[in-house]
Amino acid sequence: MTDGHPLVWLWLLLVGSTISINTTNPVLLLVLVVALGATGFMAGGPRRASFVTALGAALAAALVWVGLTLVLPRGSAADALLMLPSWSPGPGVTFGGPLGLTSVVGGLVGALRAAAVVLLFGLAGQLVSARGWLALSRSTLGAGAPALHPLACVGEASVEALASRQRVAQQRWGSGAAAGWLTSLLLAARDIARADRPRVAPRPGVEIIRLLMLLLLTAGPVLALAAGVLPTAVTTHLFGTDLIALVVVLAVVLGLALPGTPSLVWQWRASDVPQAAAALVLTLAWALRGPLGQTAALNPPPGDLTALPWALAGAAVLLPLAVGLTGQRTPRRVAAHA
Amino acid sequence: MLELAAFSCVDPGGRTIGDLSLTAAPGSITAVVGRSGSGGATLVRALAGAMNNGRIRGTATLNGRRIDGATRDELTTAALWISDDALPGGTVADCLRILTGDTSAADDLGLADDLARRLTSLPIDLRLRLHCASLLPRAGTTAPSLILVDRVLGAADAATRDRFCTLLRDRARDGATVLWAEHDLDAVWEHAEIIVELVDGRIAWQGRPDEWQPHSLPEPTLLTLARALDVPPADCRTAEQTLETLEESGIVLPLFPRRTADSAAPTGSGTLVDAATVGLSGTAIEIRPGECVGIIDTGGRPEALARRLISKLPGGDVVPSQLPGTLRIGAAARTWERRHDLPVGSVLAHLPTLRPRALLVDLSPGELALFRLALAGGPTTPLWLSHPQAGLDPRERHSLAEDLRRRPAGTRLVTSRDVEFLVRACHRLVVVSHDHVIGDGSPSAVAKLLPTEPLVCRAVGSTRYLRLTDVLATTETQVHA
Repeated sequence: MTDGHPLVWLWLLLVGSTISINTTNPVLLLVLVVALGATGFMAGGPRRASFVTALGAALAAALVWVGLTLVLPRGSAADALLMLPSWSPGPGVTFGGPLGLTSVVGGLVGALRAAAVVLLFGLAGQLVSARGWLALSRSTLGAGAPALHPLACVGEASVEALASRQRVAQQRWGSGAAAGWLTSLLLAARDIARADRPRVAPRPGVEIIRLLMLLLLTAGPVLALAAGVLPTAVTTHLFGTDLIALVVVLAVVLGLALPGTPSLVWQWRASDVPQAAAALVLTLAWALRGPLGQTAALNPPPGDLTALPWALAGAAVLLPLAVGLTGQRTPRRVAAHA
Repeated sequence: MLELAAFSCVDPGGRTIGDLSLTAAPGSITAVVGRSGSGGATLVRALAGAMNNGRIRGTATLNGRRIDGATRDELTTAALWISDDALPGGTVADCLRILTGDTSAADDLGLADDLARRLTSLPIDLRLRLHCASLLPRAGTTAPSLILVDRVLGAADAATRDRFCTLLRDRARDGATVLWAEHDLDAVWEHAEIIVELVDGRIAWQGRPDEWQPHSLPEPTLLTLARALDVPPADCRTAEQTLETLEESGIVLPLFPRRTADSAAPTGSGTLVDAATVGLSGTAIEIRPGECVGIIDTGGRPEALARRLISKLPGGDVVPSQLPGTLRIGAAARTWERRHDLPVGSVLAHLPTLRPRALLVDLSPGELALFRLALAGGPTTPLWLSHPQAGLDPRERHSLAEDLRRRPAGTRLVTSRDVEFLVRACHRLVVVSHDHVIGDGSPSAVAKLLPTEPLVCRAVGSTRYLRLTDVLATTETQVHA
């Protein structure tokens, strides 16, 4: 198991999501999904159920996109790859019909994009303990941290929810006697968050400053955009997701600068370095996509599978290597207690 | 010093405590006792800031600082809340790192083999060892001035209970104020300076243990013993003290106790289980219909043997010590009724306050214990009960022991670390050591093989007196004679 640092994995989450959302290159997305999948398998660990849950959710999300593509295809009869049965319940609304290349590629991109983002969250829950995420959310959001508790604890909550289902089966209660998966997940997340406690009591003055900072960071860019006062360089070269990522990073950095940050956030280990390096390479590959001539390959014409932003693809492959090379094996079996 | 003035609260489950006024001094242990639902746990939770969405009125001050309404985060350095719900971390190793800084205490606490185990799958009798870790002194950190304990002794073995109580006493001696909600009256009797008895959320009595006249609970064992033998209760706070007091008073019990008209063990032929088929060496074990048999393993854990034994009995089933929290009460009850051909609604018939749609995770430990009790009471088929007494209040515990001994619905196998309970509840005890049956007979017959001597034995200095009833019946005979 390789235990990750919450800052490093927040970084990977932000940059990975930004890349996934802002590319329509199916090959790059496929490389990303495969790299994330390999990372999850190589990491293993006591929270692997988080990754397994994410795999299931990623598959479900992908299937939703496939379904949407088949139900609402785009294309004309002339360039249709496939003619699906169609049904029109009313004027202007048609389900099915000609399935064109644009539609197929769009559906594939949507499926891979959804899978990538979901897998990123699953990995974040697998590699970072709930305690790590809770500590980071406290240092950033302060008294507002409980709003993020379910998300912060979803990794460990997956493990508890799976264990609970196994116990239901072992004790022969029947799945109908137990709450659903999502309810189990939320209950487990609630209990994990409740049992966690900070080492230092919050200080009212610091909490007020933290709240004001957050308000400024979230409202500021929106107001600046609406008023048209953002620099042209920002509005032309940065995607919306880049801006959101920057706001999140600023919020975290400023939150860490305030007193009362849980000490867990400052605990670094040697195994964090390769993962941080992988995050840095991915960030640089994204930030320098223009100078590296990769911009066009990010959004190739539909059907062009030869264009590949090689820097981003290579950077994505570094992640499973970074996790795999620094992991320590932990035994899967614990001492058997009757 | 902890001071409560007209302190009342209502927790989200509707459990209330009203208008409590008490003072707990630093350096002392104040125990809060009462029936399930009387408010002890609610009080501890409210003071720990762990009552989510509860309503609090009145004042609570700690060393002059108001703490009523404070959140857990705000109390994190001032107060230590010891409860199964408060154990932090995902695995035992994580928990130890949070509580003590590292896992070096694992060997000493007997948790070295369980470091990778998740807390939710840790056997309930081992959880107290983690609570012991909470009380270990930790260099470089400020000791909390208030320690709030919420019924943690329940399922643990005697050695761990003693250790926890000793650590709690040490923290009190270091100046902490300890407020301890507990069902184990014998532990409270030995260690508390003040007892507060709650009935329906209000204080029915508070004062020194030796002056206590319980309103709703049975007396602690040594208090009853002292009053029956007419010696000062204050000189009988521990078994060793009691023995010394009896010797100094010249009180000698007859060599053989007078047995009460107790329920004799069921006779007749039962199921003969070949020892080798359950992984043992030694004689075969016969389990008779309607018998309550306790399984004790002095060299390890008896649960594996109990599981193998119950599988050899026709129709054998288990009431586990840990039920999945995501079970819906009504659906689980119906599943159990179908499995054991019980009348529909029979499981929940005696638990009218439980909502069928609610989940087990929303129940208090007392309610959960009563639900397990309800599962155990119906079936006539053989059942293995694992820690059946855990979570029950003293009166419920006595009642369960009585029912198992006198009126079991069917054959029952019982595993528990509470030797006192096993001695009271079981017709027979099978004692195993390193996969070898070393004893199989009535509690009196195997008394010398038990992992710990029952409290009464230690107090009167004889293994022939196992239960309080043995002493009471004998002394009554002596009086009448």
